[in-house]
Amino acid sequence: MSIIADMSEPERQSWVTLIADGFVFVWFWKTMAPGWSLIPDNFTPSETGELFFKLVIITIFYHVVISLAFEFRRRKGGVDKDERDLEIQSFGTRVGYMTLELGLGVIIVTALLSYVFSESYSPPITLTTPVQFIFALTFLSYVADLLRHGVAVIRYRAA
Amino acid sequence: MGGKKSHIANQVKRIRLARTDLTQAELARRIGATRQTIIAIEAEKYSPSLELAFRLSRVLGEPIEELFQFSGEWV
Repeated sequence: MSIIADMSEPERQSWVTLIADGFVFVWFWKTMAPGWSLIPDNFTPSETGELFFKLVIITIFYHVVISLAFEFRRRKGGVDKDERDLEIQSFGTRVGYMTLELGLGVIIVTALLSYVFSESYSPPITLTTPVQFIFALTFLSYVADLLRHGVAVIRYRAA
Repeated sequence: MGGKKSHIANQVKRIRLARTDLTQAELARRIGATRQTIIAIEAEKYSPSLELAFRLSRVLGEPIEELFQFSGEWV
């Protein structure tokens, strides 16, 4: 029996979401900060708005498509999800939430350093413009989501 | 209160094969779990909740202490 055939439906959904998130995250990162840099290009407000409009639409679209696809696959009378799935997914959600909290702390400290010590100290990453803030927050939310699903799929394989 | 390494061993696979003709999928269906959870329990990679353990006990027709044994140290 292949690995995919041996997966429960929630595990398959985690994999599909992880892969889709990964593709969109790479597209977003390459578009905003070419060369895998952590410093975004100087986008104009209209360019930023257009990019984020696309990002939001794409993200909503694929999450809806994935959810609907798995909803239609649901077996009548069968059990597709049980306590083990809930436990694994709640562990992934906890890891994602902790990442989000930690990342927000880093963003706040970086913003403070960029603002308070701007004349005497220049950190490798500065957060002074709206584009930089938007990039940092979006980057963080995708990393947290990727970790959430990544941790879940690792745990599915381990347990 | 503190704990050391704990481990819950189980005889689910042995009892399922020896005393019933249930497949993993059929056992899963009857206790309201997925087949993957039965696989994980039988491989002792997952310890079920008390409720699921009682359901296993009922379907397999064995008392819960026959199915699960706590073999870890506890201090």
